[in-house]
Amino acid sequence: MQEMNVRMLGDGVRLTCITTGQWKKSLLRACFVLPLDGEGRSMAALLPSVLRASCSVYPGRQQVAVRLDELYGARLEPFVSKRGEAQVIGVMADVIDERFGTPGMVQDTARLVTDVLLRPTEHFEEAVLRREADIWKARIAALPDNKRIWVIRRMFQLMCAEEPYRLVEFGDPEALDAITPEALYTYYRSVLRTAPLELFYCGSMDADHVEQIFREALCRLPQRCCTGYPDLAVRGAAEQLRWSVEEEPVKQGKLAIGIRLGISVTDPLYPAMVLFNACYGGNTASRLFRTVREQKSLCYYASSQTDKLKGVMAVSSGVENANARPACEEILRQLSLIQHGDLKEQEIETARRSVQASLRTIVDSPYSLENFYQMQSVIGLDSTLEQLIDQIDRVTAEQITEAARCAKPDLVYFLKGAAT
Amino acid sequence: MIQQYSTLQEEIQSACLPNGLRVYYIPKTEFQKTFAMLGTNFGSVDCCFTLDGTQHKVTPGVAHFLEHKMFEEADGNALQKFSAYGAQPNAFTSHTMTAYHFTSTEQFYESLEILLRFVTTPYFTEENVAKEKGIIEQEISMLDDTPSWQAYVGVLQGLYADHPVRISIAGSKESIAPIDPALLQLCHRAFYSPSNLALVVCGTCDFDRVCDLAQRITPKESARIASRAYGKEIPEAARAVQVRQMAVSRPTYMLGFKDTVPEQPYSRQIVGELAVRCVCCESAPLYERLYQQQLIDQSFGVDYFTFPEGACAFYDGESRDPQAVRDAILEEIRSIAQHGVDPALFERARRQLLGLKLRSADDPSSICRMQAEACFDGASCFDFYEILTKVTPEQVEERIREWAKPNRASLMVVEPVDGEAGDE
Repeated sequence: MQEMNVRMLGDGVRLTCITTGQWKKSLLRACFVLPLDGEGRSMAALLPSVLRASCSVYPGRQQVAVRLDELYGARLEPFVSKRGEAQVIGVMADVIDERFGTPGMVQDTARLVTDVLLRPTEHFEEAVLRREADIWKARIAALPDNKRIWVIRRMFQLMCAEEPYRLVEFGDPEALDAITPEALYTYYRSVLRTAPLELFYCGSMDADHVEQIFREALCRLPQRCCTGYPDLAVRGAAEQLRWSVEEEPVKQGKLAIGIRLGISVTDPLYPAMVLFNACYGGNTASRLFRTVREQKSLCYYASSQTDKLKGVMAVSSGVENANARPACEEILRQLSLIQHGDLKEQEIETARRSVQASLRTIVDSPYSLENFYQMQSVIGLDSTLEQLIDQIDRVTAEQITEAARCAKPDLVYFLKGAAT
Repeated sequence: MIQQYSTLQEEIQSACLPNGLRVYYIPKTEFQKTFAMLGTNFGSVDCCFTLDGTQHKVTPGVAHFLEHKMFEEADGNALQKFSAYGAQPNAFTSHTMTAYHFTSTEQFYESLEILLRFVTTPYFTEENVAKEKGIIEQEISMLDDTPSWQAYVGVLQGLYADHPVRISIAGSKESIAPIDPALLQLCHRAFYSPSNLALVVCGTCDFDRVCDLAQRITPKESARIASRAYGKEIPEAARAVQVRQMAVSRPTYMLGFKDTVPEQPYSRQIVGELAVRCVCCESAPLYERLYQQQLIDQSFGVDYFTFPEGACAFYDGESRDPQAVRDAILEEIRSIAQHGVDPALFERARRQLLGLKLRSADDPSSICRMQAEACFDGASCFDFYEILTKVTPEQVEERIREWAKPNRASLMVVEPVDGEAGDE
């Protein structure tokens, strides 16, 4: 049995706590939610890794690493993620249960998380900052290296050229170079004062105990005046479908089609949109898998995915250059068919079962749970997984068609393979 | 039979059916999902074998091709049949095994029946084999464009001169061209016999019912499993350094150390994983030094790999100077070989690995894979606990001394195409 508790621990400070004895480990996460187009985006990206190397209790990266190994290889990872048009920064940790290690381990790991986040040295060191900034710059430069993921990011950059959604959550190289230790420290203090702080725990500790540990640490927060959650901006498509082609020295071309749904997680049609995505390209029973891959043998993968915060969809496929057009035509043809009510009852029921099974198994993994509630936290949404499963149950075929009709293809991006 | 692992609060129920099929069940009744895996002890390295007195040398990529083609049945595709029960099926081929699996939250036995049936019932036609080539060619192209995969394939080619582990799991467009129904049939007969398979279930099920079902669906008797050969290898690496260019922003590398052939692959795997960490895990002095010098970053990783008639250690990541990383790791290995491992570091690495293994023992899909791999090596997936409780610094040093011998290292670097390098 899992018991979920959500508690407010201060102005814009929320704790989501799931207590269960199901696992051999606990997972903790503390993060700040910021607007993606905020002026401090590059500083925000740099902050978690600089904090990890600047803890006053365990100064230097290696001391933290030694402490983590003493805690039976507990992990503490600084992270930066893009959630819709929000930038989420923070620290995530997991640790095995005390019954397999030493008493107090989970509590000690929780303290380590809050120590890293809230007890830095009195100033940041220039050398540490430069080193971490260089790592981020290399990481930004490496984004195009994984083509399968890159083409989707690149497509959205082009499709949303006028929206914050185009921005890279890891910052910009020039802005990273310009950051000084003083500016970063000032920025850090302002984040502590104003940004929503989302705390998450799942594991065997009960909510009162978790709350107590976090409360002890939170007394280090300055007086808060929380700015609230970033806005969700959902926009319509361009008048005409746009095409964009770029070349790289790779063997296989990659196709990414950007589709505006105009339906985000807060929309009443959202559960229908989830089923539409599943029928269209969400899994191996979907239209795209069965037609583009299995019937036509055009590719190894053709699938759709959605960003439920931004209300957009990406269809992607790896194809030979010559097959880009036929694959694209088939992808758009299947969309049009679904929009005209072509889905069979069996396809819908298969999709419903598959989606509900995926949602049910989220509770089997602390990482999936964390991911689900991190998404929710970005917009301050407090609906639960069970409510969504229930809503999926009641979606009708007409609602799926209605959701599909909201889908407007906006931009086709093709990364042409130009390897010799 | 029920094997208890009381410290871990785990148990494994097991049976060997009259046809030789091994069945395992690891209860996890608090989980929503039940995961089932049917694995065959047949991977990409098994391309030279003797069956019924005839020696066969089959084209690279056939195990992976067979994996794709098994889903095809006379009355449709098994993938779609699973979907009707809300189950999520998939499969993979590694160097050492091919595994078919599904996750289910309802009607588990219906899905299990589909799994048992399609894996043991070949259905290959000229047409469906030809059609699959288009899909697999695209998969191969995708792998060709994946820098980390190319570094991995490259380092194995650098370490091994003759062992088939040096060939990419999916083969190449050229190597899959001659594959036809007769060849797939041959490999199925050679390696998909019940006694070469293992069924592992983790989640909630009635073990007797699973055994009954398996008994009913799988063939009554096992054919003789083919005997295999893996070529002749010398202890040294085939090549010290290889470099190739790809569309990357900075060099990606994989550094390998050739180890001796293990007698007990499972325990060697665990000790090997510990030994790589004693050289350069995140809390090791070498890691900190290389991090300070900006030679490694969060992309750095370590691994150890055992397979039939071979084993090796890996260090990988992205770096502005992979050769400098190699030199530093090699120097550390020689130093530990001479002076021994720091006891405090050994203990930290031991705890770290124990924590890592315990964390992965929380996920039914990981457990099933761990058990399938372990059982083919004559072990159980929870044996790591006892091994890591008893392991000594001497065992770790024995491994590291092996890597410190002359010419055991091989480095594969994937570097940016000329003129496309970043500012480093």
